[in-house]
Formats: sequence, structure tokens, C-alpha cells
Amino acid sequence: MNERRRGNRTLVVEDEPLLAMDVADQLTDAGFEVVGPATSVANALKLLDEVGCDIAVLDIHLGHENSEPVALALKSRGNPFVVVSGNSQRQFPPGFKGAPFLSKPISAAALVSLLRTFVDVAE
Amino acid sequence: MQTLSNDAAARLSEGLAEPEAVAPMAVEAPINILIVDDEPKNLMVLETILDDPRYRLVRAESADQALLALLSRQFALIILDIRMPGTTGLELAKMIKERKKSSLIPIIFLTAYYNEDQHVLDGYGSGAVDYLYKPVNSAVLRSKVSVFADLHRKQLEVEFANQALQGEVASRRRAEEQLRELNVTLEQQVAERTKEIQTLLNEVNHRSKNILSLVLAIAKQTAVSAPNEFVQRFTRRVQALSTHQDLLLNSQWRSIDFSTLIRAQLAHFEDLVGERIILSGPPLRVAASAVQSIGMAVHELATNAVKHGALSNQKGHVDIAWQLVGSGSDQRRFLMSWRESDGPRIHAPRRRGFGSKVIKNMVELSLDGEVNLEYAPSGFSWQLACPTAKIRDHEATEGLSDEKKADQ
Repeated sequence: MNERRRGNRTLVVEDEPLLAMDVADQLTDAGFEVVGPATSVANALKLLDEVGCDIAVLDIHLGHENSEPVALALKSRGNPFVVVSGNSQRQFPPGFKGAPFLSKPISAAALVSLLRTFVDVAE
Repeated sequence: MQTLSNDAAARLSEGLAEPEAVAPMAVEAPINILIVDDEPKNLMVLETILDDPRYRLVRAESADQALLALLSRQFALIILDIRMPGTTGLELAKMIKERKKSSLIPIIFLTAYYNEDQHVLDGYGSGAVDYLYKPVNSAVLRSKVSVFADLHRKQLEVEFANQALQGEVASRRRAEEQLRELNVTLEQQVAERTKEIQTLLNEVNHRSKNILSLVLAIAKQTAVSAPNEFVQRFTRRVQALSTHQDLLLNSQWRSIDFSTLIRAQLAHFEDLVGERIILSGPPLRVAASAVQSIGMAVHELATNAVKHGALSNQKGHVDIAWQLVGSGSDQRRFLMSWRESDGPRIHAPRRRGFGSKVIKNMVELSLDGEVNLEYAPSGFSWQLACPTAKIRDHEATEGLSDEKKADQ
């Protein structure tokens, strides 16, 4: 895995508002600093530009768009990200290939422990 | 005396020189026989001998007239006098045989017995050419003509059968070709459908996992904020969620009429709608993406009203209003409010549960809007302001025109 980073600002990208809130709550409870949540590509890119992050949780399907541009932006910034999707892995757009993946519905504990392999979070 | 070759000349000058088309009738119709002799009385003799409804005799008194007649119609047989002034019968026969269209017409020459012409006639060979000695024996002439006439009829029959067969072959080829094209189209359609179905299945996979995630999130939140009423609350919330599925399915997952959406979430209070629950606002098609947030918010507002607010007594009222702010097509802001009155005195809740997360945080997040909650003693009120673009289905022109009407 990648070397662990010091910051734990986590960008949450999820178009389903209740799920976005749920993920954000779980991460906050686990000690992460949540950026967002963003429910659209434009929103996510704006947050990346203005706030930035250390790691991200990405849903692929965002309404009628997909979050590949966000994945590419994260890659170019050197930020790792975790994919959370209801799609099967073989349907992923190329920008998501190789990224760690959790299939919906996810368990909060699994997400948190996966994120902890990338960033330092005070337990 | 009228000869048909004059008629042929007339037809030529009128530009009607095309030979008669071979029609199916021709098998039954009398056959054309061209009789050529420079002596009119010889022609009359031939006409007398061959007077028969099965034959139509066409007279020609010279090679020129004969050629004109040949241009204008088809003949089954030519009876040709060899001795003629100018172009002789033999020269005329040569021209007829050289011309492609007339080359196959059989010719019966009329010639003198033991004449030197005999040698020339032998040169033609048998089959298409025959000869008779003058003076003509009428029985022999009738017999020979009858043989050629039968031959002609049989040829016509074969020709028709052949044409019919070719027509049949052509139409079968066309049918085969159409079948092939149809097959190609069908295969393309099957491929497209298969692809559509695969896309749909992927979509179903994605959606169902999203719904399961949502149900899980609602379960967790409900368990935390209302542990004592978990089953009841959780069931109601999942029912509220499933109401949207029906509405969206009925509208091909596109948009839903705003008041239909509200009424669906107030189905438990159907009797109160119009009495204690008043809906007011312009016709509006809500985009599928906004349906869930609005619907769930209304569900939570109604639940709260029944538990603590204006629907918890017998005289409270709820006013639900929505409007688009701005002029004409530039209605940029959407406002919606839920105002309770005449209910019991209320207090702001000490703890924020899942319900208030839904009516505030979730709605703000999904509609990019602002929500204000007021816990006035006279009644609770909830107000939403968000960009119209987040709410309205822009493809629904029906809704747009209705809104314009309402705006005027």
C-alpha cells in the first residue's frame, strides 16, 4: 500500500444525499475531517480546488454523470481514493481501475479501516 | 382498295411504329398473316382461301408496303410471291431474315413449278421457310398455314409461360432479398435490445444496491434516534421510500407532478387533505433527482406533525405552499413552506434526530438550498429556498407552459 499520510481530510463524493450524510457522519465519528459531501462532479472538483483533501471516497454514478473526472483530478494531485459503488468492478470506467473498492451497501467499519491504511487517524 | 400497309405508313408518321406489345390475350386473338403479291387478284384469292376467324390477313402489294407492315405489327407468317416488279420476293425475304425482329417469322413462298427459284429456296434450308407452287392448291395452303399458325400459338404459349416463370423468379428473388434485409434489421434490433437489457440490468444492479444502502442508513439512523419505536418508524420510512419508486416508475423515471408527490406522502391523512391540510402552488413537474428529497422531507414533516405538531390534535392546520420566484422563464428560485397552526404549544427539540437531519441537512445537500426551521409557540414552520433548476424537470414542456399560465 501507499505510504501513510499525516492529514486525514476526506472528500466524500456521493449523489444519494442520505448516504452521503451517513458516510460523512461515520467518518466524522471515526475521527476523520470530512470535506463535502459533494453530490456532483462540479461540486467535487470545486471542493478539491478550494479546500483540497488527503484522501477521497468516490461513488462512481452521480445521477446522469460519473465521477471519473474527479478520479483523474485526484490521481494528478497524488491523492489516493477508495471507490464505493453499486456497480460491479468490470463496469468501472478506466479512471477507476486499480483503486481499492467497496461494494454497496458498505459497512462503515470496513470503510474506516480501509481509509486508515492510507492516512493517520487518531483512534 | 385499302391495304393495311397504308395503315402502317400512317402509324409510322404518327410515331406509333412500335410493334404491338405481346399481351396474354394474343394466344386467343387471331394471328396476323402478311400476304404479299403485286397482283391484287392473287391477294383476293389468298383472302378467299384463308378466310377464317383465326387469321387476320394483312395485304401488301409491294416489298415497301410489306416492310412497313412488318414495322407496325407482329406476324405469325408471311406468304410471299417471288415474282414482283422492283424488289423481288427473294430480295424481300433476305431483308426480312436479316432484320432481327422479323428474322424468325416463317415464310411461305409462292413460286412457279420447276422454276429456277427452286434452287434458291433449297438454300434456305427447312423449318422457317416453305414454298407452294402456283396455281395454289387451296387445301394444301390451308393445311400449311394451319401448321404454322399452331406453331406460332405454341411459341406464344411458351413465351408467356417463360415470362410468367421469369416474373415468378424475379419476385422470389425480391422476396429473398427482402427477407435477407429483414433478417439483418432483426439481428441489429436483437443486438440493440440485448445491449439495452444489459444496460438496464446494470442500472437495476446499481439502483438496488443504492436502495439497500439507503435502507441500511435509515435503519442505523432510526435505531440511534428512536430505539423504542424502531420497527414502526423504520417501516414507515421504508414505505415512504417505496412510494417514490411507484411514482417514478409510472412516469418512466422522469418527473412527477409536485402535488401528486406531496399527496402520495400524505396518503395516511387523505381525509385531511383539503380540510386541515391545504396544498397551494402552481403546476410543476419535479425532476426525478429531487423526488426523493422532497418526498422524504414531507414524510418526516408529517410524522413530526402527527407526533408533536398540528396533526396531533383535532383542530390543527398545515399549509403546504410552493412557488417559483422570478419573472417568465427566469424563475430562478423555488420556495416551499410547511406551516403549522392551531396545534398544541410546541418547543424546539432538545436533541436533533434523524427526522430533522432529513428535513434540513439532507434537503440542503441534495437541492443545494437553504432550510429554515422555526419553532414558534403558535406552530412549527419549515421553509425551503433552492435553485429552480434543482427541482424542475426542464424537459417537461407541459409543466413549463402551465407555470407560465399560472404566472400571468
